[in-house]
This record gives sequence, C-alpha cells and structure tokens, in this order.
Amino acid sequence: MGLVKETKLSKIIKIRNLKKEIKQHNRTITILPTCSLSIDDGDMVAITGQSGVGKSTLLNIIGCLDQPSSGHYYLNQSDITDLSCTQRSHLRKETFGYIFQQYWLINHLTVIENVELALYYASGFHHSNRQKALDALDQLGILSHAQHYPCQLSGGQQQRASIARAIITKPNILIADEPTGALDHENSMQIMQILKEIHRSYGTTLILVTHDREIAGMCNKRLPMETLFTEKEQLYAQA
Amino acid sequence: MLSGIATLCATAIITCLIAFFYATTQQMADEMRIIQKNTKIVVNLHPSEQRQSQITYQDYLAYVRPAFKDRAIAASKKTYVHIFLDDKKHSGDYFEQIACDHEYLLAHNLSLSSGRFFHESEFPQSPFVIIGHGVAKKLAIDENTPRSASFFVAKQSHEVLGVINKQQDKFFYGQNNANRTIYTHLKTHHANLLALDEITVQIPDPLESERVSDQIRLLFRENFPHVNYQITDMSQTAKQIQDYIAKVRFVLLAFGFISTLVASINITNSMYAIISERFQEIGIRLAIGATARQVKQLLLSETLLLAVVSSALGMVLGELSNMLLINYLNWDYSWHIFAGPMSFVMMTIVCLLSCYVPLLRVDKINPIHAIQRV
Repeated sequence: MGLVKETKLSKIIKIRNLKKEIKQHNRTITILPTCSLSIDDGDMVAITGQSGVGKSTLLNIIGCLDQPSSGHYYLNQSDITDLSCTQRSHLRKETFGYIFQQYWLINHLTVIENVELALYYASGFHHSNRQKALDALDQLGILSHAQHYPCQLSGGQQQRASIARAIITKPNILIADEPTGALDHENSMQIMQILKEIHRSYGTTLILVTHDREIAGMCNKRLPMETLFTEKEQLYAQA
Repeated sequence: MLSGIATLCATAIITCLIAFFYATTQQMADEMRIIQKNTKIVVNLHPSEQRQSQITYQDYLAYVRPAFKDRAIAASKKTYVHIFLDDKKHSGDYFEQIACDHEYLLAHNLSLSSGRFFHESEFPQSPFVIIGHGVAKKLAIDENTPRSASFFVAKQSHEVLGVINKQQDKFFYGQNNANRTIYTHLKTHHANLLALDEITVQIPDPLESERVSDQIRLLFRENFPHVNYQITDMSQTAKQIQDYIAKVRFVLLAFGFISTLVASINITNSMYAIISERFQEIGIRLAIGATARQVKQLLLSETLLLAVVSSALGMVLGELSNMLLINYLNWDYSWHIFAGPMSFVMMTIVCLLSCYVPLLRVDKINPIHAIQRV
C-alpha cells in the first residue's frame, strides 16, 4: 500500500483527455487529438512522432505556454488546467525551463544579458545574478562569448546560451522542443550530452520533443504520440 | 522615435502656447491700463479743399472749446516734417509733427520728463517745440537740459521747451507715436487757414462717453454740417480689444487641445507599432517567466524615458519659440517659469494615458503564439 502511494506521488505530470482545438474561418481544427500521459519526477522523456501530429502543442501545454481546449492537466497533483495568465506566468518562472528549436534569444541583448534576464524575472535584481549567469555560461562552455550578441554566434553556441538561460533558475522541469532540430549531428550530440549531464546532476525532469530516433534513444523513456491517443480507461488503469 | 517626436512637438507647442497665453494676458492688462487711463473720445476730421468742410483753429476756439469748457479738450493737426540740426541742412531726420494747443498734454494724458508744455496765454514770437522721448534720443538732446537745444523746422530755428516721458510701446493700443513726435503750438501756424484733423475730449468716467458723443454730434450738426468726421470712443475700443483677446485665447486653447490630441493619437499608434515590432521579444520574455505586468512596466518605462527627454527638449524649444514670437511682436518679454514645467507634466501624463490602451494588449498575448508570430 505504502509502495503504491509512493509511486503515485512520484508522478510529476499527469494529463487526462487533453485536447487542443483552434477556430479558423468558422471551422474548428483539432491540432492535438485527445491524449493522456503521465511523467515521473526526475525522468528524461522523449515525445516522438511525425510532423504535425501535435508533439509541440502538447509540449507547449505541458510547459504552460498554451492552454488546452478540454481535459485536465495535473502538475504535482494540482489541477492547473484553468490557471489565470498571471498564475501561469509564476508557474513558468518557478517550475519550467525552456529550450526551443530556434533558440529564441533576444537579439538586442548580449548572451550574458539574455541569461541574466531569466534570473531577473525569477528572483528580481541581485548583484549575484551576473556571477550566476557567468557560471552557467562557463558550464556550457561559452564563457568567452558572454558579451557577444546572438547574431554573432553559431547555431550550437546559441543553443548552449539558450540552455544556460533555461537552467539558470534551476527549474524542476526542463522543456525542450526539438533542441537539436537546427543543428548538425556533432553539435546535436554535444547538446544531448549537456542535457543528459544536467538531468543527471540536478535531477531535473527533462521532456523533449524530437522526431530523431537517435536523439530519442538517448532518453530514459520514449513516448510515441500514437500511444498517447489510446483509450481513456486503459490510461487511467496505467496511472 | 515617432512618439518621441510627437511628444517633443506637442510639448514645444504647448509650452509656447501657455507662455504666449500669459504674455497676451499681461499685454492685455497693460493695454487696458493705458486705455483706462486715457478714456477719451477722439473726433477724426476728414477735411477737403473746400472751406466749409474744414474746422480751423479759430472755428474750434469759437464753437467747440466753449461747449466743453469743463473738460480737457485739445485740437491738433498732424503732419510730417524734416528736422535739421543746423540751418545748412547737413543732418536731421523725418518725424511726425503735431500742431496742437496747450491742452493737448492733458487731453492725451501725457506727462513731461523735463521742461514744460505750452501755456494757454502765450503766443510764441520765437517758435518752440516739445519733443518726444524718441526724438530727444535720436537727436542726442539731453533730456535734463532740453532748453539749451534747438533745431530747424522749415528753415526756422525752434527752441526745445520740454521732453515728453517715454511711453510704452504696445501692440493693440498705446501712445507709441508720442515718442517719435514733435509738438508745435497751433498759434505758430496760420490759425485761420490750418484745417484741424483731430479733436480729443478727455472723459474721466467711461459711462459718460455716450452722452459726450451725442453732444459732439449735435454740435457738429448745428455748426459744421458739411464737415466729414468720425467719432472713436476709446471705451468701446477697450471692449473690442477684450473681445479680440477672448477670441485669441480661444484659438490658443483650441490649438493646444488639437496639438495634445494629435500627439496623443501619435503616441498611441507608436505604442501599437512598438508592441507589434517587439511581439516576438514580448513572447520570449513571457515564456521565460516575465508576467504581463513586468512586460508592460518595461515598455512603459522605455516610453516614459523617451517622453521625459522629448518633453524636456520641447520645453526649451517652446520657450525659445515664445521668446522669438514676443520679440517679433515687440512686446515686453517676461519668463513664465511655470509654462515649461506645466506642459512637461501635462505631456508626461498624456503620454502615460496614451500608452494605457495599447499596453492592455500585452495581457492577451499568448507567449508561444507571439514567439511563433501566429
């Protein structure tokens, strides 16, 4: 009984019958069919699937960047489906770190300023912020590029800066949407090694979306999108 | 940038308008003071070549002056003369000359800075003149000892009897010509032949002006039916000036309101443009943890900084414009210390209010849609 309870508590994310629809020209388009999933705390999960199947939409909902049309989303056993914008903002800065395929660094800020910005929004202005940002860049091996602007960096370097920005707040969950999608094989492997190291060192739950089998194979668990669209009863039983 | 220019222009215009508004008020107060001091009725005569349409000084003494013997009344004839400082016509200048009687000073409420005016009884054997302050300055005549000076008018030497106090130059109405005029006694001219062109009656109480005007009309109808004349009541002129100033003020206010409105619309549009331009950046900031409030604060602080700098520049530009305008109108410039700060504060508030509605848009931004520019 005690073991069962402990297993249930370790589920950091539970999604039940989640669906996303958008309205376009009086037509309703389903961009994420009804799906359910659970992710354990401290796991490293790869959500895989073909393009257009709804991987990124699901990841955005998990990362509180988007809201579902129906269904329920439990984070640490709390239902966060209908949180307000401000509540979701707080959750984003306290719980999640984001790594995007296109890096999305702010172009008119230097690398160090981009990294510091996440820390500023998470905990306000502190003199120690600069040192923390420098440490993060050092950890990612781009300390020498701290004063460079994103446009002066290569794709791999930009992605490292993006990872530094994501991990500087020490989030519980790291969300990575095709983190290697815009990189060559060598850089992709390096980035994955970095992500694995972060997962191992900090015990961060890492959820990444990819369609690359090799990248997905480096994660502890693979969740093909097709398997998430299974019957509700079965999924409840699994939980 | 556009909102900065809009703020700068609007602040400059508003500063200039406020300062000019107060300068106009000040000017009007001065004008009114002069008019109230000089409440008088001026009868402008328009004589022709025919004797019956003229009023000579003799006619004036015989009919007009006895009718107003209890008031200050003066007759005058205006011409332009060339004054020479020596009889060989080596140096000199053109000035306005008014041939007038001894009561002119009183009727026009003028005063002397030195010397004396004509006496009623004197009949000058040797011609003399009273000169305006500007004439004394131009001809380098010492104001304190005017009687030692003399100059030539029509080859005849004239002794300077006195100098009139400097009159303030005013835009709407004033005694500005008094500074550039020489006054000769009507008796030194051929009094029977000289046709007067102005009769002035001083009225201590403005309420009397209508009655005195009627009295003048009656007098002219009975004694000078063929004389063409026009009565100018200075108390009426004062009312006209007040109306005119009220209209000017309304135009200034309307202009200020329109400038503020245009600036406000520009700032609002600029804010929409800024949000649209930085849409992706806003999305990134929201995604990494910024709240909508923090993003709004950032945009607002940037706009406010621009507004403060633009308003400060506009304030200086507006004050300079006002200075040039006042200088052009030849008014007395005085610095209105509150005009600049008032428009500065006003434009800063307008800027904040104009940003408010566009900034509400930030609340509705979905971070991922903004990043992907959906």
